[in-house]
Formats: sequence, C-alpha cells, structure tokens
Amino acid sequence: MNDVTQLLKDLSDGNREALDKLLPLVYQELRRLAHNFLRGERSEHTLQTTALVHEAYLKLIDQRSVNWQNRAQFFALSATAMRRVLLDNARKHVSAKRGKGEKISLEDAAEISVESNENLIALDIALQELEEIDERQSKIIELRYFGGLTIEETAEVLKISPATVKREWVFARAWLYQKMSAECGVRNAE
Amino acid sequence: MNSANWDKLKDSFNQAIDLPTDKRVLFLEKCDEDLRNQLKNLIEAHEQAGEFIAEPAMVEIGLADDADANIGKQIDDYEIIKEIGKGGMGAVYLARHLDESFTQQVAVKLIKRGMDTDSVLKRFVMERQILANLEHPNVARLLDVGTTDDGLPYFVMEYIEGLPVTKFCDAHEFSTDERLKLFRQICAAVQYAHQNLVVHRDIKPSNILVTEDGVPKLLDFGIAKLLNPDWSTDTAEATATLMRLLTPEYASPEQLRGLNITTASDVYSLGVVLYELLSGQRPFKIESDSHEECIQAILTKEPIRPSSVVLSPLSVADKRATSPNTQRTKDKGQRTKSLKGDLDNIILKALRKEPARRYASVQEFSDDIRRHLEGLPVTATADTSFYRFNKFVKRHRIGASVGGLVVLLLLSATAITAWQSVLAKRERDRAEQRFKQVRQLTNSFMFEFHDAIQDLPGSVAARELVAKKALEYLDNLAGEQTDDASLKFELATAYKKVGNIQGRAQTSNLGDTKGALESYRKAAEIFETLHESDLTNPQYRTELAATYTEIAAVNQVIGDDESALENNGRASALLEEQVSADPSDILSKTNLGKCYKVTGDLTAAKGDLTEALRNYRKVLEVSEATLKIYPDDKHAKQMKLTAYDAIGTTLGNPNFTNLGDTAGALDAYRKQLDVSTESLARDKDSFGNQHAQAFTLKVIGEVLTATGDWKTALENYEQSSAIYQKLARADSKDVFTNATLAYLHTNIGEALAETGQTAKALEYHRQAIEQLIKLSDTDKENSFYLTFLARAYQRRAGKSESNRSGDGVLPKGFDER
Repeated sequence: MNDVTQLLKDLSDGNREALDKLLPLVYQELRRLAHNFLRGERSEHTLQTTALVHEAYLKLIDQRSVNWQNRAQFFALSATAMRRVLLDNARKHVSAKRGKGEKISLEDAAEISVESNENLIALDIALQELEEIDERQSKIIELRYFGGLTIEETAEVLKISPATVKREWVFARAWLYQKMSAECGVRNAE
Repeated sequence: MNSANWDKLKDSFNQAIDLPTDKRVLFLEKCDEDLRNQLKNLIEAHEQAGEFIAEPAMVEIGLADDADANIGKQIDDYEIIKEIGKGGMGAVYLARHLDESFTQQVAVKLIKRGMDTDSVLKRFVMERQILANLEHPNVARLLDVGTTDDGLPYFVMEYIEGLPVTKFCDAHEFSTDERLKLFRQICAAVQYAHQNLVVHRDIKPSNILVTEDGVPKLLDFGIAKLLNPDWSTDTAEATATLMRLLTPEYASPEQLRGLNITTASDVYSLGVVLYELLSGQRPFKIESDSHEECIQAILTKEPIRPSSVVLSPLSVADKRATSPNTQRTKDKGQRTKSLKGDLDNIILKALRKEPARRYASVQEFSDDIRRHLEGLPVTATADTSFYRFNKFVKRHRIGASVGGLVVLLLLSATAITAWQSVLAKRERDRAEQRFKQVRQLTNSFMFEFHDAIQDLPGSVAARELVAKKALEYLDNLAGEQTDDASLKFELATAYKKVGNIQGRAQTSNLGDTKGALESYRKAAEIFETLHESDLTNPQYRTELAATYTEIAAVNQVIGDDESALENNGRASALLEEQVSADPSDILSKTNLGKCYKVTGDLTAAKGDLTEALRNYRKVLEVSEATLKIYPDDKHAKQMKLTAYDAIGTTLGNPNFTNLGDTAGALDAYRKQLDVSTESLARDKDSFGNQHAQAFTLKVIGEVLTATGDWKTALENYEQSSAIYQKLARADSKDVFTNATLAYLHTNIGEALAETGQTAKALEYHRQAIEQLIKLSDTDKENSFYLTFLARAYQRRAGKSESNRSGDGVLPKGFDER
C-alpha cells in the first residue's frame, strides 16, 4: 500500500493529521501533472480539470485498497489542492507583472491575464469569508469551481442531494458576486 | 450574522428567485427591512452574475480547452472523434478511450439541452447501475452515463457497425424462416433485459442493428425511460413530448396514452418490427405522414393481417431501382402464403391493443415463433369473432345495431355459449391482471430498491431487510400451488436474485452463504419442475444451469468442493444440452466453458490431473467454437488463453504438480504464446497483453529447463525479461513487475551458469538479490519477496539441481495472477 492510500485510510479513521501530510503530496502531483500537460507532453489530450484530477488519483492511489469514501475524499482534497495551485500561480504572476511591467505566462505555456488572476485572488478572499459563515457553501464552490466537479459529483462527495448542492451553489455564487463587486470591483473574465 | 439569520436569508432567497417578478415584489414587501435589503442585493447579484464562476477555474482562465464544437472534446475518459448520427434527443458521436490501451471504439450519445435536465439526471443516478449491468451478446452495452461539465447528460455505449434489421434482411435477401430466426435472437435480448427489470420502451428497426456477421444488437436499452418525463401526470403534455422523442409508428397504444409502460409495451413494439420484417409494411395504412393520424390509427384501428399487405410486385423498372425489396417482391405469392395462419395470428396477438391480451412475455412470443418454425401448433389464435364483434359494436354503436342483430340471430345458439365463456374469461383475466400488477410492483420495488441502495455506504441493514421481506413474500407466493408457468418462472428468478443478494460468490453480498444456498436451492427446485414440464425450453434450461453454477460457486467459497463438483456438473450437463440444441447460443457456450474450467480446477485440486486435463481441453474447444463465430470476442479469447495455460500447467509446469509431459506442456504454452502474440499485435501497448506475453515466455523457459535445453530456455527468459523491463520502466512503482523481474533474473542467472557463462550469471544473481532486498525492505510482511530471495541465494550457490523439489514451488497465488 502506498503513502497516499495509507494516509487516506488514516483520514477516514479520523486521523486529521493525515490531512496535513496528504495535501502536499496531492498538490505536488497535481502540479507535476499540470506542468506536463502544459509543456505539451500530452498534447493529444485536452486539458480538463477532472481529467487531471482523475489522472492524479490513478497515479497516487493503490486502486485495490481504496473504497468509495476514500475516492470522494480524494476529490475534495484535489479541489483544495487545485485552489492552492491556481492561487499560488495567480499571486506569482500578479506580483511579477507589477514588478517587471510585462505579461508572464504560466509554465511557459498558457497565458493568463492579470485581470483574471486578480479576480481569482479576490474570489479566494471572499471564499474565505464565506467559509466563516457557511463552511458547506464554500466547500461546494471549491469542489465545483476549483475541482471541476459536476453538481452530481459534488453531491456525492458531500453526501447531500444534488438539489441541495444546486440550491446552495446558486446562493453562494450570488453572495460571492455581490461581495466581490462591492469590495473589489469584479472584472468578469470570460 | 448568526446562523438562524443566515438560514433565513438562504431560505428567503431561494423562495424569492423562484417567484415571478410581481409575486417577488409582494414577497419582499413582507420581509423586514434588513432582510429585504440583503435579499435585493443578492437577487441583483444573482441576476447579474452571468458567467461568473460558471465554468471551472481551469477552463475560465484558459488552462483548459472548452471549444464549443464537440469534436475533439473529452467526455469522461473518451475523446469525441466524429458525429455518426443525429436524433430528436441529441447527437451520437464515435469516440475513443483516452487511454490508448483500450482499443474499443464507443458511441457517445450527447443529449441536447432543453430537456427536463433535472429529472433526467435524477433518473440517471437511479438507473445507471441497472443498465450498465445488462450484459448480453445481443445487447449493445451501456458503458457509462453521466453529465458533461456543462450539465448535459450523455451515454457511452458499445459502438456497433451494422444495418437496421429490416435493411439487413432485405440486403441479404433473407427468407421468412431466416427472418424469424434472427427475430428470435432479438427477442432473447429483450427477454434478458426484462428479467433484469429493464424495459426498452423504444424498440424500432433503427435501434436493432445487425452486424456484418449477422449478429443482431439492440441499442439504447432503457434510455427512453431515462429521458422521458413522467407521462402519467399530464396526458396532453406527455403526448406532445412523446411525439418529439419517439417514433410513434412503433409505440404501443398504452405508451401513446401515457399509461403505465410494462414489458407488454416491448412485446407490442417487437410485434410491429416483426410485422414490418415479414410484410415490408407497417400495421396501419396511413395516407399522410401526419403524426396525429398515425397515433389515431394505433389507438383505434385494428391492424390489417400481415399476409394481406405483402408488398405487391413493383414494375420492372422499380424493381431494378429498389433492390432492397427484391426478396420481398419476387416471391410475393409464396410469402403471402407463408404468413397466412400462424404467423398472422402470432403477429396480431403481439399487436393487441390491451396489454393483457398480448403475449404475457417476450419469451412466450418467441416460443410461439419457435413452435411455428418447428411445425408445432402455436398458442396464438385468431382474435375471437365475438371479441371483435363487441369492439365493432362499441365503435359504431348505432350503425351496427341493425347489422348486429342479424348476425346475432344467425349465430344465436353458438353465440350464447361462446359469449358466456368470453365473460367468464374476462372475469378471470381481470383477477389475473390485478394479481399480476401487485406481483410486478412488489417484485420491482424490492429489487430496484435493493439495486439503488446497494452501493450506498451503510446500506447493509436496509439490504438485509429487503432480502428478508423478499423471502417472506416469495415463500408466501410459493405456498400457493399454481400451474402458471410464468409465475413459477418469476418466482424462481426472484429466489435466485435473493440468493445473489445474500451471498453470491465474488460479488458484493450480505455474507449470508447459508441463506444464499437455501434460496438458490428453492430457485433450482422450481426451475427443475419447469424444465421437466418443457424439456426443450431453452430459458428453463439455461436458468436452471445458471442457478446450479451459483450454487457451485458458493460451495467453493465455503470449501465444500465435493458439492461444488456435483452442482457444477449439473450445470455443465444442462448447458451441453442447450448448446447442442442451439449452437448460436453464445452466452450458454461461454458459460459452459466456465463450468469446464471450474470442474478442471476442482479435479486438479483433488489430484486427478488426467480428469482435470480432459476438462481444460473442453474449455479450449468451447473457446475455439465461439471464436469461429465471433472472431473478436474478448471473453472467448481470454478463455482460450486460460485454457492453454491450464493445459500447459497440468501437463508439465515444473512449478506445480504435473503430469510430466514436457513436450505437451511446451506445445500448449507455445500455442498460448501465439494467441497472446496476436492480441499484442492488435494492441501493443496493453499492459495485460504484454504481461501475458512475458509471463508465457518465462514459463516456457522454465519448462525447457526440465528438458535440459538451457540454451533455448535462456532465449525465452531474455525475451520475457525485455518485456518486463519495459513494463517496469513505464511504472517504477509496479512492485509486482519488479518482483517478477527479480525472480526471472534468478532464472537467467541459473541458465547462464548452466551454459558456462559464470561471470554473467553472478551479475544477474547480484541484481536479483539486490532488487529483492529492496522490495522486502519496503514491504516486510510480503512473504513472496523473502521466498524469492531465499531461492535467489540458493540458485546463486549453485544448488539448483539438488534443491529443485524444495524451492521450486511458488507461494500460492503468485503464478495465478
């Protein structure tokens, strides 16, 4: 049994420390995968968040000793890790742009505009506020927006009904949008 | 904000956004000022948010591609290659698995936006498992259902290349009998689905493709149910939706009325397909192509006898131009004759308006066709004149009265007795119908409910309750003596299913092996009586065999090998009968092969290697017979590999007790190698294929050492090693490959030493030992590594010959992987 699998087991046995050990591993793997994708090593495939997470999962987990709950936890963790990956990048590029006054591309590949990076940072701050008020709602946003999970998958991970996920999602989205437009002036980067 | 206020805010928000604008204003008025302001801001944000975080972050910031065109798009693990069809529900695409070791192409059906997506999704979750479990050679497998990231439902299905059944039969100029035989295969697939509680609901020629090899495959099982809104709620709306989705020509009256859809609806649609297959026409003459008229006809008109509508000969020019109809036109007279009588009656029975008056099951429908083909009397009779007369009176109440009176007077004597019997039969029919409904409801509730909760964590208690209640109910039913074969059949099937839930071997179950055996035994008993009552009925035979197979598997689990052998033998005998009666029954053939393998393993365990070998050879025969018909059948290929492996092992694999026939063993292993080489040529990156290849090469080397041919053994080892090394490089964490490689290096070391290359030999031994020490350090509890290590030390010390018998035996389980 490999490290990640054992850690996931510990986690489901209630050992919260496992989470701290687990996150860096998942984070690293996701970053490595994202890097490989962006470097064109897998250019025949389109990059897609869930595909990435699935691949990381397959690499990290010893399939034979994982049950469904572990899997759900993994996706939850991946979303958290993905949030960190993207925010780290966003912060790096925002400060680089401010420092050098030029556009920087992520991992030598996809260009990310500073506007969307700034939005991402603003979203992260608003999301932290939301977490204080309603942890589940912030989790839903994290799973769907950063983890790329569908409503159905989110419901599975959180063990609630898809209808609840949808309701909470609509509310949280409005709340975040309102928060960001009031405080930061949201620039919708589509 | 405290949590009560927050919840109130959420609740009010959700209520408010569901209201139309005018009502929303009123709603907001009623809120206190603070709440109202918050709500107003949130609703405004909600309305302005547009695409805000609507796409996942990776897509939004451009790291992920999200092109609108579906081509090249990735859905789940599949990449869309091209569009292969468009329908009312959406488009169908050809797609391939992203992992290139999966060579199978699939069809992905992407459902258009605009349907009632929420309820569709709800049904998806309920049904996906049931549908994915439908495994039948004539059913295109549903591999996956899900939703794309933008919330559109999709289905992934086995990709079938073929012609719609009607076109196929015309193109191949099939005779009536050939058409009927093909149609019976289709029935078998539908019946199989019905037993698994899946109703197709949209059977039509374009959903029945026939491959080049003449194998019919049914597409889209159960999908209509997933996509259709609840028809029973609003008939007008339901019909409108239905017309958009279904081809009304093949829909049953109850389907068009929005009533309860059952297996009888599939019987009806199959009837329409058969009507068209045999006559070249649809059952109702419709002047225009208006849907309305078509629906009206299905609901009210009686179908014309198929024999009277067989296509009239076309003009010579037309005949040349429309080749598909050649067969149907050139022997119109003959065809009309062949349809008159039995076939007319059979088709019209399937097409009756009232579900209860059709064949009670697809099986009965198909059996009647079988009886017709065998020249036996069929059960279908012409609709009674009185019944039709009655309908006539109902439809034309006034106009008919005079004519009706005359007819009645003319027929008075017989009429009265017949009429009485009709009434009695109706009374009985009604009671039976009620009973059947209750039965179906209970049955489907129990099993559908069980399947739905099966995968939920913590559902064991609920599943146990389902099993217990099911048993009580079944025991009750079984207590009532009945001669109704279909009830008995259903009862036995249900017992078997309860057995599966309680303790089916090798699947998730409740661990109640004793209960499982008991339920299986009850199932077998009932199937036995059915089988005895109709010895040639394929369904009774195969179901009885399947039950014995399950019993044998449970016997094996609890270590009762004697009973396992006995029950497995019963299954083989039945399947042998079935296969010789119907050589095209590929499913039974495969199951028979599995039975032989189990018998072989059990007898080998008892020490009777000769008998085991005899059975393994039969496994080989079965797989070869199947491959003759379906050259690409993966199960059969796998079975062939397994058979050669078992034969080789029994004859002379030095790692196991064997018959000492090294030459025979080599022959078997080399044939196994041929099969895996062929598979590898088709799919050279598949882990499984490469692994099989390397493993066989290693075993061949080991057998060769027993003949003293160390040189050739070494060559085989080296080829094997090259493949294992490639696999190990591809995944350095794959400990299994690494351990096997170390084991193999020990073998190579030994062979090198035997051929006088001492220095090189020591180098291999060193590598092997180093690797095994490393492996056992990472996993101290794994006895394989230590056993391998001990063996490596021994071989390095040159003790191979003297210690052969001691160290040659692998830990149990290693070679089996």
